[in-house]
Amino acid sequence: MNTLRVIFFSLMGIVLFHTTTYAQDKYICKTGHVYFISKTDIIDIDADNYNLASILNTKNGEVIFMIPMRGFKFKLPLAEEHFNENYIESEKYPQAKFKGKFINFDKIDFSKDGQQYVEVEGEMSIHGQTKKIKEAGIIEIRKGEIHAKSILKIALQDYGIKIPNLVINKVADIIDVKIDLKYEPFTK
Amino acid sequence: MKIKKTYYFFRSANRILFVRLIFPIVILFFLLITTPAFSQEEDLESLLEKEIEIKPELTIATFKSTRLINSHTIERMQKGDLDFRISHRFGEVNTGVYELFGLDYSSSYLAAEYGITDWLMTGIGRGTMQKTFHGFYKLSIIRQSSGKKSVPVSVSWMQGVSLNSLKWTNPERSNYFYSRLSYIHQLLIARKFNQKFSLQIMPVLVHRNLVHNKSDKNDLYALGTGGRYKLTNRLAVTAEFFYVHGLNNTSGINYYHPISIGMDIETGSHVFQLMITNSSGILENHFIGETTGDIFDGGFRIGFNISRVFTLKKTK
Repeated sequence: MNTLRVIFFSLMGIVLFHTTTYAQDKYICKTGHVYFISKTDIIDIDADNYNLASILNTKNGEVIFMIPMRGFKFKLPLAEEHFNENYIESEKYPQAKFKGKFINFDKIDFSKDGQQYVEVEGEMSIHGQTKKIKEAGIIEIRKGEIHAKSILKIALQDYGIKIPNLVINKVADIIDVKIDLKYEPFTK
Repeated sequence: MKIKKTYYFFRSANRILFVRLIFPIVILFFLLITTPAFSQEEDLESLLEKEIEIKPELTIATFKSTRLINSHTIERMQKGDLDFRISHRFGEVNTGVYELFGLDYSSSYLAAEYGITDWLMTGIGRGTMQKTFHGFYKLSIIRQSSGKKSVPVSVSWMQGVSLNSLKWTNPERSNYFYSRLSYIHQLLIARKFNQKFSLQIMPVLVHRNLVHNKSDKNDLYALGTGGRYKLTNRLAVTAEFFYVHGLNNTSGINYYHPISIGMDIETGSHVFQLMITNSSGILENHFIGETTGDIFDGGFRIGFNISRVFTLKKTK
């Protein structure tokens, strides 16, 4: 009888231990917020996207972002059409991607509540073109959830997005981007 | 008694066999099926790709404008957008140097068109040909979309009415107001095959309350087709042709099937459409029923449309 119990509990323990450690490694977000604005003297064009998807691995500091381009909703309907048709070519390049790692990973404590400064380095792909970037952000841990925020600048030239001379005054060369997301433990 | 039976196995010599042999094997098995999770770790990308579902997206920008050349397209003004349109047709090229190959002549149409919702637009305008006032609405019935439940085509329905405001040529005759009216009913079916190529089929019925001659038909049925091919992101070539059933050529004036080729140039909120066409009419009841240019005899003309879109209401 005793041996049987020992066998049973140790088996349960092993199985549980394995699955839980696996789950706590990874955090996922499917409804992250991206906002961008192109500021010029003539017109400000901005858009929101609530479909940013990301997975964060707290074990090795790897992180990935995927942003569906059609998810950007503009206040100016015509700007949305031009964004998709002429600039980002969303039919050809449906999403932007970032794949990278935390540089200061050893200094980040994912178990401690509060804000922490993070730096990320990796490859950003927009409009079919990939560029190495290094950006800073803030991570805040609140009751097991990880909140992440960052502000970055995207130069259109870096990703092969050309602005025709006729509208050169209406679209900024450098776009301000804000991202804001909330990770939840990834269980599968 | 039953319990005893169940544990009988463990009391026997087999118990040692179980603890020493089968138990480690079972544990090893569990370890094996749970550990692969660790080795998968580096591939976050495919993990995330599995998690995100691809949302169905409505196809946008099948055409650059609400007009292909003369004809409507399936496109509509989006909610809160006002389109101010100037359409202009010069004279026939075969008029020679004296008329500067048609540039001395002009037929024009001015219009203001507005998107009430994302699927309904309306417009009013005034054309010089027969001093026509025109009003129409266009309804987006089906929109092409990609994704799980994809829809292959976009379908729009357009209805318009034109009012000929010329003075009566025959004032002594009893003239009725409704004799001035023509009605247009048009179904527009289009598919955007890829980023560059879109094709449209547009059957149309034009009803004219009053026609020039007894032998002219009041109802004209026509089947049109047209398309565009994008050369660059802002430049496209377009073409359209209508086969008109029931054109009457017995009354001295020859009418032809309207055919046009054009070019779309988009510059931000403007769309310029340059074209060569054999009809001077810009409205359906004019170009379907009263196209007089014989393309084989130099009976075509140069023209342009300018569309300027103003966003009156920003979407939230």
